[in-house]
Amino acid sequence: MDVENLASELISYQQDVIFTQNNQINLRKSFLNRFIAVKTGKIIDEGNSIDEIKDKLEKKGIDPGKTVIEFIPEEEALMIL
Amino acid sequence: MVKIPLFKGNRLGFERSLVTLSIKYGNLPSFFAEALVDTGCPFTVISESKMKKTRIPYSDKPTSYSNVQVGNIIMELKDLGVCEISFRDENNKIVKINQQIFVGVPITKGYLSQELPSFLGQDILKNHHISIMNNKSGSDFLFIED
Repeated sequence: MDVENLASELISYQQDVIFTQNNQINLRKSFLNRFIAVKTGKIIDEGNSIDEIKDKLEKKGIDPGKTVIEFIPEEEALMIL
Repeated sequence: MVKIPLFKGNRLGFERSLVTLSIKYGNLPSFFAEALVDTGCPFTVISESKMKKTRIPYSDKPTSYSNVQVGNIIMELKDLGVCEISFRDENNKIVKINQQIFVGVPITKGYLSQELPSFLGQDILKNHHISIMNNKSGSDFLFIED
């Protein structure tokens, strides 16, 4: 992978992380206690486990390692590290 | 001096400083993760949920530390060895560094590994002379000395 591509892929990944956290309330309505895969600001798959989503993405030719895959919990634990 | 942009994200219930990185282990394809910058964490730790997206055989790796607690979650740290980490700087150039990485595997029964974040710890900050810049504009950075 060339350096320019890597930089733009990292920007896109970061935007998908932000999309997922900014849309938690809406995502809970449809995907509570499920895993979702997000790419370029869209939910591209869902499942009951990371392994399930990983298989689905690989079949579509999408690299799961470079995709945001998140669990949508009911609520997040509060922790001071 | 290289500036790597940080972004804000909610992790474990509070807003934290995060950075996006690409990690390459051996000859396997690189994968992406977001990590919380934590000066109180001695190690750089990638969460098990990020590792599960890859084909890296992390569960076979030796356990360097067991019974490590994050809050009330007990996990073990598996040593992935030295990996190549790539960051994007403010000019969209790629900065590569080599760093030992641990995988945080929760052993607390019933706890979901996907709820644990990844950490950029003291080791990488010290080894590569990286400091955190919180500026007035709110655009925070990691600074890497040349």
